[in-house]
Amino acid sequence: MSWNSADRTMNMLTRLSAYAISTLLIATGIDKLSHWFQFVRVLQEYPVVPASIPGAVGGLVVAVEFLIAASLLIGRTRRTGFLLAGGLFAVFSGVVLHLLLMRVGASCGCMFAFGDARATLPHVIGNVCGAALCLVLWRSNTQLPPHRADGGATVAPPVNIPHSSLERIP
Amino acid sequence: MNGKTSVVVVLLLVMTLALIGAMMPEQAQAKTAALPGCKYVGCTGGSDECLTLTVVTNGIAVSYHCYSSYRVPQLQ
Repeated sequence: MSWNSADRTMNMLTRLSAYAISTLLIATGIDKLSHWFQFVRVLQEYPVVPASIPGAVGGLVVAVEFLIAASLLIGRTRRTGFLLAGGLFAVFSGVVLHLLLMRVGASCGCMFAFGDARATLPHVIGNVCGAALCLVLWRSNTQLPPHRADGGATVAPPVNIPHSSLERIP
Repeated sequence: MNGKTSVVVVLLLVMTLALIGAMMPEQAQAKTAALPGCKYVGCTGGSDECLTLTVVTNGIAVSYHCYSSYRVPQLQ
C-alpha cells in the first residue's frame, strides 16, 4: 500500500506549516533586529527578564528564532524544528498571557514594523494554536518515508535476500 | 481528510487569523483621535518610530512615551 491521499495532504500541510512558521520567525527576528533598541526597551519591562541583561536575552530570542526557522526549512531537521517551535510558542503564550492579565496595555514586543502592539487575546490564541500545531506535526509520522511505525505502509524487501529464499514463499 | 489533517487545518487557520488580527496596525494617532477632548499634536523622536506623543486635553499638553503610549486610552 502506498501513500494515500490523506497522507499526501498531511505531508503537504506539514511542508506548508513549516514554511509559514519559518517565514513568521524570520520576519519577526529581522523586525526585532531592525528595531533593536525598542525591543530591548520592551524586554526591560518584562517581569521575567533580568533587568541587567535585556540585550543578551533579546539576542538569545532572535538567535533561537533564526535557528528554529532554519531547522524547519531543512527536511532532515524539520521534526526537531517543530518541537522547538512548539516550545517557543508555548513560552511566548505564557509571557503574553502574563502581560495580558497582569500588565494591561503593555507592549508584547512581537512586531514593531506595524506599530508597538499591545499584548492582546489574539496574541495568546495565535501562540497557543502555533504551539499546538507544532506539537501535532512533531508527533506526525508523515514526514518519514513509507516505513511507518503503524504498519500502514509498504515495507520493501531488503535487497540482499538470497533469490532462492524468495522462491520458497508460496 | 482524516481527523489529524482536520486538526492541522483548523489550527493553521486559527493561528493565521489570530496572528493577522494581533499584528493589525494600532496607531496611537488613530486611538487618540477617537478620544473626546483630546487633540493629536504630533510625535517627535526617532526616524522610523515615534518616541513621544503629545496630546492636548482641555488645553493642557501632555507628552507620553510611545513605548508606553497605551497609557493614552486611560485618558478616557
